[in-house]
Amino acid sequence: MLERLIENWLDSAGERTYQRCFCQMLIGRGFRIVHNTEHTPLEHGKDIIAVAADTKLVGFQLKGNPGKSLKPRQFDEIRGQLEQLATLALGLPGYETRVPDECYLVTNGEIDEAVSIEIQRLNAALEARGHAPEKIKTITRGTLLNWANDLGLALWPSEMEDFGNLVKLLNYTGSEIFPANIFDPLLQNTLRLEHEVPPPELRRRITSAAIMTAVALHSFSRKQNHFAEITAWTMFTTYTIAASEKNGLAFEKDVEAAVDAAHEAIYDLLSEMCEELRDRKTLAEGDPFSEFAFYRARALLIFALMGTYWMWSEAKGWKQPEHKALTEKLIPEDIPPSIWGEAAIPQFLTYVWYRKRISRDSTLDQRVATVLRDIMRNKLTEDANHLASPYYDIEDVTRHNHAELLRCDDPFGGGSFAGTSYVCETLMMCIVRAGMKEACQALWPDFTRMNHEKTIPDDAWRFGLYRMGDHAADDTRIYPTTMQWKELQEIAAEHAGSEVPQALKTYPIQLLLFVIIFPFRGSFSAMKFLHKHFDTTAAGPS
Amino acid sequence: MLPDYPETKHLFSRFFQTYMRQRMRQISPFAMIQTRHIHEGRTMRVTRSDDTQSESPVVEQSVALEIKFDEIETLTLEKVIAKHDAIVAEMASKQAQFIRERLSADIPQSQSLDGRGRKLDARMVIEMFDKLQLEFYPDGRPHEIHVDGITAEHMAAIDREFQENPELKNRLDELIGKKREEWVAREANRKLVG
Repeated sequence: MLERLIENWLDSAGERTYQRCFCQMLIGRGFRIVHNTEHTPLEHGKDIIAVAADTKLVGFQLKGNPGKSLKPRQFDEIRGQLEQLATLALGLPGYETRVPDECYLVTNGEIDEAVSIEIQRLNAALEARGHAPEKIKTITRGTLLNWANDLGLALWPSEMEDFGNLVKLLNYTGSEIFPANIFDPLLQNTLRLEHEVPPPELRRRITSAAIMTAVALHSFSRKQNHFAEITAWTMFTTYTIAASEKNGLAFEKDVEAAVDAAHEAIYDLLSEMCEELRDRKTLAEGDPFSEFAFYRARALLIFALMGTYWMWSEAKGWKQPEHKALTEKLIPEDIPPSIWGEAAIPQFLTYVWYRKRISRDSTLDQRVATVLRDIMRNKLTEDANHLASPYYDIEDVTRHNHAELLRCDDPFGGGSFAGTSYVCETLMMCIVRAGMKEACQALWPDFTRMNHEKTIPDDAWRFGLYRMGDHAADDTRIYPTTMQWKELQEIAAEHAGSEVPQALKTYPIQLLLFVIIFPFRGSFSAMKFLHKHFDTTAAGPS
Repeated sequence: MLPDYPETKHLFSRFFQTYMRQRMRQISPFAMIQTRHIHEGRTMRVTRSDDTQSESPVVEQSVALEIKFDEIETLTLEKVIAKHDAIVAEMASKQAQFIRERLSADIPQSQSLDGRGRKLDARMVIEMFDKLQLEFYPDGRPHEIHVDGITAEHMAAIDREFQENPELKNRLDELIGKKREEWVAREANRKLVG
C-alpha cells in the first residue's frame, strides 16, 4: 500500500516538487550537493551538481514527465543544455574549470525508445570528441521508485495510526493551511524522537523523513500551496535538528547537507510565492465574501514572508535579481492595524525589521510601542474581547468570534486571555533596545500589571517540535512594580537564545520562519535572539 | 458489527460535552475563576514581583461515567442528562477540594485567618479584610471578593448585620478606604526609574 502511495506521488509530481526529494535522496546515497537550482535563464540546465562518495563530479538535469514518457520533441528542447552540461566547465565557485565526470538525465516518467537512441548517438559523438564513453546516463521512474523504497519507505513507521495520518494528509484538497498536528507524529515516529538512535540509522531516517515530507505534501504541491510546502519543509528542518541534537550527532558531518537542501527548497518556495504575487491583482484567495475575516491576517503573513525573502536574499545574494524590486513594491510602506491575536506578533515584527532595513524609519519603533500599548490595554480591560494567545491561529479566532453564527464549537472552550500575554516582554524588549526610555516609562505601569507567559522546554532540542508534550514548563513572570532602567536594559540586552537548539541558531532565517509559522515558539528568549540578528538599527545599552 | 449511526451520535456527544462545560460553570464554587488552557508541559512555574517562585505540577482529575447494559433499553434523554449532571457534580466537588487544598498551602500566613471554629459573621469579615491585600479597578471599585463554602442565606445574614450595625459598617468602609489608599500607593509605585 505504501509503495502505491509513493508511485502515485511520483506519477503526478512536477519537476520542482520531485527535485526537492531527489536532492535528499542523493544526500542519502552519499552525495554532497554543491549546486542546486531551479531553472533561470542563466542556468543552462545545471539543475544539480553533486560530488559522489567516490569523489566523481556528477551533473543531473531533471525533467518532469509524471506518468508519461519523454518524447523526442521534448528531448530536442534540452539536448543542447545536456551537451553543455557534459562538455563545458561548470563555472561554479570552487569548480570553475571542472567538467562533470558523469551526467544524468533524470525523469520521473519513462524515456521513449527514440530518445534512448538519441542519447546513444549523443554519447557516441561525445566519445569521438574525447569524452568518456556513456557520459550521459539516465535515471527514470523505476530507479527513483527503487531509491524511494530503499531510502524512505523501509524506515517509515508501520503503525496503522501513522498510515492513517499519511492517508489523511493525502486526502486534503491542498488549499488548506498545512495540518502540522497530523504531520508531527509522522515525523516524530520516523525520526524516533522518543528513542536513542545510533548515528548511521539516524542518517538513513533523516532521508526517509525527507521522502515522507515530499509525499505528505502531494496534494498541497499540486495546488502550488507554497505556504503549506514552506511549513512542511520547515518542520522537516527543525525536527531533523531536534533529532540530531538529541542523539548527539555531529551536525556538520551528519545532518547539515539534508538541512541545507531543505533550506534551499524553502528559499525556492519563497521565490515561487514572489513570482505568483507578481501576477496577482489582489492578496484575496477563495470565496471573496468570507474574506472580511481573513484578508488582513493573510496580508500581514504575506508581508512577513516576503520581508523574510528580501532579508534572506540580501544576505545570500538574489537568485532572481528582479525579485528585489518586486518584493519592495509588494510590501507596503505602511500597514493597517492587523493584530488579530498574539500569533500575529512575529509576523508584525518581521515586517518592522524588513521596513527598518529599507527606510531606517524611526517611527517604526514608535509603531511597536503603540502595538504594545494597545495589547496591554486590551488585556487589562475588564470586558474586552481579549486577544488570543499565540496558540490560536486566525481560523480559531474567527471561529470564536462567530461561533454562534457558524454553529461551530468555540476553539477557546471557555478559556480567558485577560491579563496574560506571551508577547508583551518581546515588544517591550524591542523598544528598550531602541533606547525609547520615555515610552518604556509610560508603558511600565501596565507592563507590571500583566502576567508574562512562556513555555520553556525541558531540553532545547524539543523547541523545534510542534508540541513538546509533557516535557516543558509553563512559566509566568510578574515584574516588580519598580525597576531601574539599567536593569531592564540588561534583561533586554541578553540574546543567547538558550531555549533554541544550537544548530537552529546557525540558521536565523529558518528560526524566523519557524516562529512566523508557529508563533507560540516566539518565546522571549527566541525573539531576543532574532531581534539581535534582524533589527540592525537597534541601539545598544546607553 | 450491528448497524450504527455515528454521525448523529457525534452531534449528541458534542452536545453533552458543551452541556457539561456549561453546567460546571453553573455549579462550581470556583466557576468565577479565570480559566487558562495549558497547551504544553506538565509544570506551571510562577515568578512573582518579589522574585519568589512557586511550582505546581498539572494534576489530572477524572470521574467515571457508568452505564449498565440493562439500563440502555429504557434510556431517555432526560436520564442521560441526569447521569451527566451527577458526574459534573462529582467533578466540581473534586475540583473545589483540590483548589481549597492548593490555596491553603499557597496563601502566606500573613494573609490567613484562623477562625478557631467561630461562625463567619460581620466582625470576622472585617478581620479578614484587614488581612487581605485588596485590589481595585481603575475607577476605584474594589475587586469582587468570592466566598467559598458559605450559603447565599448566610451571606445575606452577614450583609444584614452590617446594615443593622452602623459601627461595623463604618469600620468596614474605613477599612476599604485604607485598602484603597494602600492600593493607590502601590499603583503610584509602578515606575521605571533611573
